[in-house]
Amino acid sequence: MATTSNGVGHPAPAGKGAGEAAAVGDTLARVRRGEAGALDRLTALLYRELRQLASRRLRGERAGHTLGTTALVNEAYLRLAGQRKLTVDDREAFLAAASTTMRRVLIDYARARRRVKRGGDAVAVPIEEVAPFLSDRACDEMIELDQALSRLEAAQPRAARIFEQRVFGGRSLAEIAAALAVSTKTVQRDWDAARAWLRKEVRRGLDSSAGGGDGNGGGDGPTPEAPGPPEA
Amino acid sequence: MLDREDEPPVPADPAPLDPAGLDALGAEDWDRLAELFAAAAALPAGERELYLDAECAGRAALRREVDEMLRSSGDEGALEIEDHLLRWDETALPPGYRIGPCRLVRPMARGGMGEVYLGERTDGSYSQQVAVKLLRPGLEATGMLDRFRLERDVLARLSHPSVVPLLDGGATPEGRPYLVLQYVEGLPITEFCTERRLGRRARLRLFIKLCRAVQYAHSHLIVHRDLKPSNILVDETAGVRLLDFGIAKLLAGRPADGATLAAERAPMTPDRAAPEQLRGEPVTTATDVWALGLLLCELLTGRLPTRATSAAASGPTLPAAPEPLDRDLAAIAGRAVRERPDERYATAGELADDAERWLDGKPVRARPDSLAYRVRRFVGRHRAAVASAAAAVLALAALAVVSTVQSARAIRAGEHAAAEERKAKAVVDLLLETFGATDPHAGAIGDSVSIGALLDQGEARAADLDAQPEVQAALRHALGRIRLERGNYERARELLGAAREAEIDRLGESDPATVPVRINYARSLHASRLQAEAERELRASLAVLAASPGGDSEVEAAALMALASVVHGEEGVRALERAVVLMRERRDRDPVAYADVLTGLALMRRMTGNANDARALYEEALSLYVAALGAEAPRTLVIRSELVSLLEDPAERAAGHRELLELRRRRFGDDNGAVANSWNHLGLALADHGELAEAEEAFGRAQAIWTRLGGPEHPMAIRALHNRALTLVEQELLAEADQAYAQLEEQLGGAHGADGFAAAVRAERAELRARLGGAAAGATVPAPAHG
Repeated sequence: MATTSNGVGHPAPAGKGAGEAAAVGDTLARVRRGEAGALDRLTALLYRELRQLASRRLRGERAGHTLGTTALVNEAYLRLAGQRKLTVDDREAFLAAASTTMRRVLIDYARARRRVKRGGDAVAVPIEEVAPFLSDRACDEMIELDQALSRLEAAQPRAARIFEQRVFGGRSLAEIAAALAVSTKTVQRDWDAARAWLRKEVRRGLDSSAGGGDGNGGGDGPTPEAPGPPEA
Repeated sequence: MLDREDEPPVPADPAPLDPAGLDALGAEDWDRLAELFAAAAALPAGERELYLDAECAGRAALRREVDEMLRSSGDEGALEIEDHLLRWDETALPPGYRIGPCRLVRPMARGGMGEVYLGERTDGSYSQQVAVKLLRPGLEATGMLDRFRLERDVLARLSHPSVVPLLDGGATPEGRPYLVLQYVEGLPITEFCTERRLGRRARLRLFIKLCRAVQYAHSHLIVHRDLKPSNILVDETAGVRLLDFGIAKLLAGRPADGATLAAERAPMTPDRAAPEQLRGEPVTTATDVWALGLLLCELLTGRLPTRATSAAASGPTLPAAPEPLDRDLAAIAGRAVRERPDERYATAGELADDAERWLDGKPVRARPDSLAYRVRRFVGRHRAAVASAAAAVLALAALAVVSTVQSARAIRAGEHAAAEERKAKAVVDLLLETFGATDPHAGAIGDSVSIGALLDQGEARAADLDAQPEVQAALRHALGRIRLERGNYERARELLGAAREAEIDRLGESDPATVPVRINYARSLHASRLQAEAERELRASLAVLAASPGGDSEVEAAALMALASVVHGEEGVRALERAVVLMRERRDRDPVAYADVLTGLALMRRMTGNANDARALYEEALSLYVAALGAEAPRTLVIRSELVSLLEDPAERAAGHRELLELRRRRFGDDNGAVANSWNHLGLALADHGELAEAEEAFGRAQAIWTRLGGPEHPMAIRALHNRALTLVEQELLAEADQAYAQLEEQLGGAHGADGFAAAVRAERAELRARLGGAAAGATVPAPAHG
């Protein structure tokens, strides 16, 4: 399911501002019907919104402060869909897409940060948006984490989805269990295991790239395309 | 991909995992890995080795994975990035940490709103177990605290065994707001039902208790807004305890970076939000009825209903129950979760009643029978609207009638008293007949459109009463007062004018019994900007009173107050001081009337620049109003607004006015003079705080409302427009400012053309035009369009 895309180029910005709230409901319906391009459009809407919210929050807060993905995703939800009636399924699709998009926002930050650190071109993301909240170490970890998560996704999509929604969507395990229609026990088990497994993978990846110079192919490895809403 | 060179040689696996780790690991292998990891992690460190030796015999790769995962788990293994993203959820304050007056004992729960700790509150000699809610960072602490202070007296009025009281609130030194609640031991209602394996009837009985508690709060005009299982605890004795009443509202304020109004009203829990909450419409008691309906579904079927997908649908689809849900119960739940608030049960009490009927084996109101149901649904819709609107009208009407009776009784003490009482009773009966007798608390936060329709109905009724002119006049007087309170000045003037004519015809112009209606008529004239006529009417009334000694001092005081609001200045202050003296002896018997006079004097003192005297008077009036009318009564809100306006800090002022604005909009709808006043006050505070664009917007809202209510030349519309113009100048939006000034001069050309204000406006505009000339020379500002 996880195909690759460049990950650096940002999704095309969604056009207008006022029609967004109205657009999001239709887009969600299209996503659920599986229409071509609908998910890209939703992701573009979300990407822009989450990035704006994130950078606004980051500018306003002390360095090292927690980013609060729960709050960000909730805020995006309220702004994009809060005034519309969404079905439970649409809301699900929204939150799933939001988790994936949040991951993407963060990986783009991390990459931009790394480029800046290396003295590369820093045009894509202004430095002040990147600087305050992620340490160098955290940026490197984020990039490794993204790749390890993609590997997990290939092996066990459910576990990857749980981790993604917990960490990037800020959802509680109970909510995720309800959304995926599996028991909380299973979700807890997968979460614990995925977390431990990903930690080990990230450490290993960092250790090997510390020894091997630039590490994984210039650092801009594969980013998973946004997965669709959970099917199981 | 994985570097394994440093690993010791291991025996070959019978079914080896790909050395590349999980790349070739399927779902089954993951499950095995996750199970092993969970089981091993649960063991004491010393026993893990033995366990894994046994479980992974012959599967070295699997064993390695588990070992490494175990080394990575635990707090020490955390990555920095996790710390950034998850610290909020993973950290808890240590026992003994002090927050306000409380010492934390242990963390209890985490939720969307923040963390909950068990705490101990030690106030000198006694100590008490409390729940401390530490709210998420990002909720604006100052705004929250202001709202908290404003709401605290309201919440303190709740005293019900099922309503868990809010004890205290504040902010930590880091600025995180916290709330202190009484600690309750219990399980969320859904878990309680599951754990005790309660049957349907027992669940319903719990649900009914819950509805009764919600009804109690509604009767105090407090809406919960966020009813969900985690807020509804059931204790050992099956007592229901409701947490967080009013808290959703405290938290619903403006986020730090200023989102829209719709977001301000946004629900705490989107899955459970009522359709009107999702639409950003005002929250009413019907919103809680919705949440109760969802909970009923959940209690009966174990699941939440599915939301409607189109606006045309009348409500969510109920989930299929494990056992078929009784048709009547499904109908009850369905009625509570109708899409339209006015199609739901009018009150939580009605919902409880229907559930009780079901328990008693009686036919329920929410019948599922389809044809009959469709007919009933139409009727039910109207009934629901009538019930909530009638309550509000009755509350106002009762005030009006009572005050008529009091004045009449005092003035006509003696032979006419009995007749006046009969008349008053006839009026009350008529009101009851017209509006339908209901529980006065039912849906007290009513739907203003329906109230308007009801008033129309009442007026039509009054028009039919030509055969009983006394009753007709009294009814018109009462309805006119309601119209006046509601800001419908035109209608108020017509009704009060007709009532005045009738009373003067009946009693003669010099009878002091005509004075009450004349005062109200004068108030309606004043509100309609007919100042000269209002002043004449009031002076004539005072003359009538002066000519009949031994009259009612309350009526005289009312006339003096009305006069003061027309003449202002020194004469105004003198009139009010005399009114206060007249009313002081009535303070205990009629605190509201006394507070009215205090308010008038405070206003006048403030207008003459004496803020300190004003504050003391306001505070005295406020305590009287709150005790007599409640914390959200229209009069109480006026005083709260004045006190907020006296605050030094513009940010505090803005927060206070925003709160009051929301309260008023909820209670009176958008097109209301009090709402317009709040917008104007908010604009002033925002402008002082430097938020000029927001201030301009607020003034624009005030101006639009006043224009709709009283025309573009209404003095308040003009004042709001002037404020807006000044704000535009401050923002250097000179062309737009010039347009506003052009409009202002046009309005002032009429009634107010000659006074000092008009002169000041002309001077301001001349200055502006001089600057515009300079700017236009620089060719940066387009030539102003003429307004």
